[in-house]
Amino acid sequence: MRDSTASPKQILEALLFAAEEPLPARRIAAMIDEAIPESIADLVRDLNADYLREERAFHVQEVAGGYRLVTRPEFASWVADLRASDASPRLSQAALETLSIVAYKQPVTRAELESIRGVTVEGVLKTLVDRELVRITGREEGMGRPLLYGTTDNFLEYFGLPSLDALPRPDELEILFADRERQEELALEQEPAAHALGATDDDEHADGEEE
Amino acid sequence: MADEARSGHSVKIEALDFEGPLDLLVYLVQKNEVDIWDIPIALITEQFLTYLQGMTAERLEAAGEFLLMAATLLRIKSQMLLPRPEVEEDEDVEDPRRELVLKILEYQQFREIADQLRDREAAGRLVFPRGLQDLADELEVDAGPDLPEPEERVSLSDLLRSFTRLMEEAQRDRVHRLEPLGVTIEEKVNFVRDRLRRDGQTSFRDLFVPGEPRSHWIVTFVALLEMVREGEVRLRQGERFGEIHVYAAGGAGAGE
Repeated sequence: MRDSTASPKQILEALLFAAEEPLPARRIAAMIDEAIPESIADLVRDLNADYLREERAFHVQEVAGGYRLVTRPEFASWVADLRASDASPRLSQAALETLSIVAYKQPVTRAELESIRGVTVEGVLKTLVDRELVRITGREEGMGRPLLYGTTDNFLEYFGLPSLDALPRPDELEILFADRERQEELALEQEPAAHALGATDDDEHADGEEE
Repeated sequence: MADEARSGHSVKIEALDFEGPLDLLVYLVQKNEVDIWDIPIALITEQFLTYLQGMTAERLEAAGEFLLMAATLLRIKSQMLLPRPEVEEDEDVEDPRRELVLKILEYQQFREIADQLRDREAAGRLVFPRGLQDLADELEVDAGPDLPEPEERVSLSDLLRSFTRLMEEAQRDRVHRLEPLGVTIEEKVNFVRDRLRRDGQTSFRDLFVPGEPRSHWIVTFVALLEMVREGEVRLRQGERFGEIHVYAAGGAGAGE
């Protein structure tokens, strides 16, 4: 029944073409005979190389734990006309900030989000849940059992992220690190400063209030 | 006192819109080009309060958050004014600013991540995945011109409501039995197809044969959804929440 002349790359292409959502490598491998999940990335690379050479208007994107076919950015203006109906407005600064925190701190309570942003997030959280970028993942144990929030697969798709690991991970550890370094520095400074108390006040960064 | 001197030329920031007190603090720290680990708290507090005074009426509901921060700043400022405790060597003398600084830094980092997400959002808006639109959209097919009576389009929720009602009715006086499914979607698609070929149209209800196991009804329902998605059938409703009619989509069925 199956065409034995079909190459794994062709099968992959057919599956991606027909898929309604990003296809995980594992699933693709299970559908292509004799393929192991690790080899799917190679097949995808191959396919993308073909598309590039043939100047196709689309390519395979790795997103939300899977692969999908997407149009190339160069064709955005035309395709956008076609898809005008499902265009959603851009996210606000407040929404992006809140999302960033949810992404890194999940599962996270509203109180934690508000503590980090220093403002209430009730409205913005509702927007994010409505847009299926954030979902309620459960309740925290303990006082009041507040709701916990986390990001969705749609979040990954919306931002074109293969997985949460692909999030920009600049300096999450840097704060802690810098802080520790700084603490050591302070500890070192503390002693001479203590001895010099009242003796000199011409330090450039003196707080200016110690008169 | 250098700090106080610099604050002499008051900073024109009132008009700017900030996300919140931390956003304002980040701005002030950057604007004054001060060392985050050695914030001139008097200067920053003063500028912060200046901003607060300039806050317009419509932002008053957000003022609470700013006031809270102002209180924190003033507390830190007063703590800085206190003479440092006499040398207690082993005691950890904590900088009163430290907690605030960590908060600012943490917030700043998430803001940077937000910036990166914004870039990704912009890039993401330029690519379009293949794929079908939501089923719900597809079900809302335009009303054909040749329908016998004004009929409403059928939404997915209408359809589900009708089906749930049917299932509930069937549930009464029934015992649960586990049995093999015994029917495929394909068979049910053919069943619907035959019915439409014979009668041209059918009511949604009539597709569910009384006495059939409910599992079969579910398969029929799935088959119907499949056919709607494929554009093979159309659904119409005489009135909102009324009986749903099923038509073959290909020209012949609709008007008969």
